[in-house]
Amino acid sequence: MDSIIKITDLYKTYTESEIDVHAVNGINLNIEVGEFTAIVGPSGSGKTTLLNMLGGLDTITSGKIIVDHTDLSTLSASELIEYRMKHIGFVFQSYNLIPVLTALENVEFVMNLQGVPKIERIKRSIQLLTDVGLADRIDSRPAHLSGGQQQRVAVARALASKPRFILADEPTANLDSASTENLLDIMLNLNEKENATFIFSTHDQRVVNKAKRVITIEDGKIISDIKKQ
Amino acid sequence: MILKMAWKNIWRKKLRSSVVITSIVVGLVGGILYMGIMNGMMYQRIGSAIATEVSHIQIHNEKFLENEELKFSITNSTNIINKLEKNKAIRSVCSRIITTGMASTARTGSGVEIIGINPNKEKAVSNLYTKLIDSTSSYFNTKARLPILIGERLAKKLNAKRKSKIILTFQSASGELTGGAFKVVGIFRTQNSSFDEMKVFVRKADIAKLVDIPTETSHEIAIMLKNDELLKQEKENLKKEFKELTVSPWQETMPELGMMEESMNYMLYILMIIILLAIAFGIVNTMLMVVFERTKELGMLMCIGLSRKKVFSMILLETMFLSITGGIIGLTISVLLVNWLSVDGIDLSIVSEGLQVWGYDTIIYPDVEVSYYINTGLLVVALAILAAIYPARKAIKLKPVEAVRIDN
Repeated sequence: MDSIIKITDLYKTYTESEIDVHAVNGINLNIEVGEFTAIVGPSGSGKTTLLNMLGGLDTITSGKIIVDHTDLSTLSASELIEYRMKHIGFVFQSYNLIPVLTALENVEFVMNLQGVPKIERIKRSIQLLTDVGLADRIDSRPAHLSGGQQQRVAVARALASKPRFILADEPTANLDSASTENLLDIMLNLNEKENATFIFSTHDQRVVNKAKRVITIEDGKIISDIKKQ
Repeated sequence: MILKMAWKNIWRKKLRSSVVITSIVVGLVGGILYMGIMNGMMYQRIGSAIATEVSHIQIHNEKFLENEELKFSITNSTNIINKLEKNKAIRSVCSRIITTGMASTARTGSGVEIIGINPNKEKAVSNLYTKLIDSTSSYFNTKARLPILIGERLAKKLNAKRKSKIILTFQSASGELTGGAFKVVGIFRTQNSSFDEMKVFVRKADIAKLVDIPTETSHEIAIMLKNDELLKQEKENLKKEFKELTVSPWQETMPELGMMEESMNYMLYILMIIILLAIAFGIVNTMLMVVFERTKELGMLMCIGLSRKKVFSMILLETMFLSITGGIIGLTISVLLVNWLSVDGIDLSIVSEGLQVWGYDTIIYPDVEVSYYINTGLLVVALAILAAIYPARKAIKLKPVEAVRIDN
């Protein structure tokens, strides 16, 4: 399969009270198109830092992240914003929808930034909201949706612009069991239907169980990388 | 989408936005109404000064204004008046003899300026004849030998009434003390109580005879133009035409009013800017709260690809929407209020004595020029842009990765 992300000798070092802390400590990793990958590990293991660097949200101390032949460390702040807009979908732990916009407008938002024509973006937004089971809630504001429904809108938003991959930071942390199962099924379905690449950081065993690849990190290092058949 | 979000965002905290909008409305209405009252007072004062006291332009012997002596007269006034009457910009002209003297009754006396007028010609220049307060008063329409009009305040001071006798004493042209017993035929009340106390009006022929100068001699030629706009040009024309005389527009005859007219606009704009600056600090504070409260959301927006330029635009638009909403409501209320009050007036008779000493009406009709509304509107837009800069800069300096983790 095609490799979409290639991480080589990646380090992220913070200095706390004059002591260097290696949040990411020499990671090498390839992620391929269409993967459904969970990055697991205890708190402070470095999984969120790794995700932030993949998303161009955090700087790299050393090493390289190549996404589709683009070295993220060479991009300026404004180029990183454009890179995120065009190539990455984000799903946050606390949904983070835009409260003043409807579900449909939230899904449309990134496509709007990309300059996708209105008819096209409405069509795709409705399609995605139907795929996540919210066809009847397209005009609802986030405040009128349950946590599970909001996270489904967030998944639809993340996929809307057809990104190269989707980063999801603890997406099920605030959801109950039923909502978690439902969300995971939806994401797996979209992973297959749209051949979308999902990368999660999670503590949730239910996510781990559904993931096709599980990478375990401890002290900033990969200690296991299991691909399920 | 950014425009839509910005508009919706300002209504997320309805109470807070309403308070900001209300503060803008109150500031604008207060500032504009104050401006209208000040302008109204000033224009009414200028209008009454021109109509009653100084007319548009006065012509004097060049030495008369320094020293009001009988000998500093305009000797060829008849010719000058004939010339002026042919001028198409001029509505009416009259000439006056002016001297100073003492007005006395049996009870007391007071220093006065005695103005000799031709009643019929004077009517076309000064509206003094409309200011008579007693229905039995007459504007020299009398058979009395030496009639005199006096102001209400002087009448009170001298304890004089209509038909009272007043002795005027003054110097004749030869320097001798002379005088006459005048009969009060009318008492006038203008907006200017000082004018009412200081000026007495007699027939020009009567005073000319008493001071022993020719009737056609004048110390002052008063000119009313067809409209105020002609003043600037006509003043220059007359100055060129009568080089040996002093041609004074009302701004020079009453310099305090001229200065007031010149400086009033600047002062009122400064006041409005101060009011708007005070409001601006309130807006900055509100928008900073908005940025702090929405740190997580702004972080998320930057994470998913909203550029810093667009984040800046969004905060700028929110500030502008708040300010412009307040501006539109404030200006609308101001226009309606000023228009309503400009018809009915504001009754300040509770402080009438103080106002009349300075020559102001007790009923004030606010007057605001259209350009002031437009400029105030532009100032509100400028204020919004200024007030948005600091909070918007704060917003774009947020680090998305840190901002998105903050729990608001």
